[in-house]
Amino acid sequence: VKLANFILEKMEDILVEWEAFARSFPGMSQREKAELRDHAEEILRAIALDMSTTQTPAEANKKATGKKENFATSSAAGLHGIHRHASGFDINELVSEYRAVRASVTRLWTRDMLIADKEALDELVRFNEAIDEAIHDSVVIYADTVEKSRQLFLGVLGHDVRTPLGAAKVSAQALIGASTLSVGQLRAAEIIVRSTGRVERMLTDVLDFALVGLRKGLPVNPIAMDLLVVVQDVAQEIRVLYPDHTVKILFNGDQKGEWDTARMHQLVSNLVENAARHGRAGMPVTVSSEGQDTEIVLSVHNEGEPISAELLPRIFEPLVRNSEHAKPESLGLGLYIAQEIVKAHNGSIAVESKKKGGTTFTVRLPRKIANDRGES
Amino acid sequence: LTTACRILVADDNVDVVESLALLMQVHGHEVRTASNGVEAVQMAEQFLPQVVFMDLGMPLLDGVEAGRRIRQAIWGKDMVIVAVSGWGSDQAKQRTREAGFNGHLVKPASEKDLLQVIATASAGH
Repeated sequence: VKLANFILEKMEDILVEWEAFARSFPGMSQREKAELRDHAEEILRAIALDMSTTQTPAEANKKATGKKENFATSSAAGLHGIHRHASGFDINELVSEYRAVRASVTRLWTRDMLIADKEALDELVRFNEAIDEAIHDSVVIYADTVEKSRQLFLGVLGHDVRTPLGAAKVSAQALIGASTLSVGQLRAAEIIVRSTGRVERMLTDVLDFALVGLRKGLPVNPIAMDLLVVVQDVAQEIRVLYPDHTVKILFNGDQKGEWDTARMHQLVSNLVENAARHGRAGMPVTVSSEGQDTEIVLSVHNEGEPISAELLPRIFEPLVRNSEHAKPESLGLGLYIAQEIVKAHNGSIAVESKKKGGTTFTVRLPRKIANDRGES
Repeated sequence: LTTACRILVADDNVDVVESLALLMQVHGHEVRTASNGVEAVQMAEQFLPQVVFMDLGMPLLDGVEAGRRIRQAIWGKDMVIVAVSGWGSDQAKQRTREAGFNGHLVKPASEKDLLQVIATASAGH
């Protein structure tokens, strides 16, 4: 039997082992587990097909040196890379997965061999493993170095861009404060303040995005505070940023708890701004906050076109944006950051979007982050 | 309404220092500026401001040390010294607290927060 045919025959056994290995990585969702099998099988079929086509020495050399004409994203393995990235696998885990599949194919292939053949093959297996080990070590260090330079880049971007941006904003605020401006001049100065404020918030989101990736979770610093104060502040800011929208605040019960003040501001701001941006102009954005015994239920509602059915399940994923409505100032990070803030406070966030009734984001926030940071 | 205050702004970035000075001037305050830590301490002694806004990463003498020297001087005991810095970590805030700063704003500090500091300081005098 040729190895290519053997892979096709033993597909089920190989897949079972691959699956068991991939499942050992934390953080896989149910959907990802279901998709795993399809990919793995496609990749193996592509490999078997590749092996059974005759190959000239020139082609073999090209493959060994990694030069290929076809675009990687169209292959099953390329797609697998895209999906793994989306599922939060790091590059080391991705490489380990291939090491595992090679090991199980080799193990199954050599199991029933004659002793003499087996010895020569064992040598080859050892060689394969040594190369795999070397690839793994190089990739770990390489990825680590790339990550560090990314971190440095974003840190410099955050700090160095903010400084001149802040100076521009403050200068425009000084102009507004001078109260000697004509109506048109005043309007121009207000636009500078609004726009610099938007860029500032985008920078904050980008830096947080990098931070979450690096540390697996946002750091929070909870203190006793009143959520209503934050909601009122945000409402005032949004009214300035989006003069076409009104922000309505409804609240019931005690709104006090222990949370990170700056993060709460960012959370409410991201949700309300999202509602203002996607909501129908002229219709109010409604922020309702219900203080219950142990938690606060905060919801942000807007009327307007519902979020599409394809987008809805992925709405909290980073860099996802509603392509029809996305405006240039949106990076698609706002809702992702909102979710990370809620997670860091042991809360939950959900969305409901319908043609009739509009879109509502609902956050359930425990009044206090539980002390035991056990497995959840 | 806030009464006119004497304010010192220290930052090594020319645009930052000038824009903050302009903002405070239009709100009726008297402002002096410094572009490094040594200048900040000298200006504080000459001008005797009620409020000092201090950047931390400055040449010659960093902002934390400049703030500490002002706080330790007889003439600087009651000055309101507030850090305005790109560094907002807990460690950075602890360092300014230990040096005797009254507050720590993270850049970009909002107009509201800056004016709030001045209003509080002027109410305290």
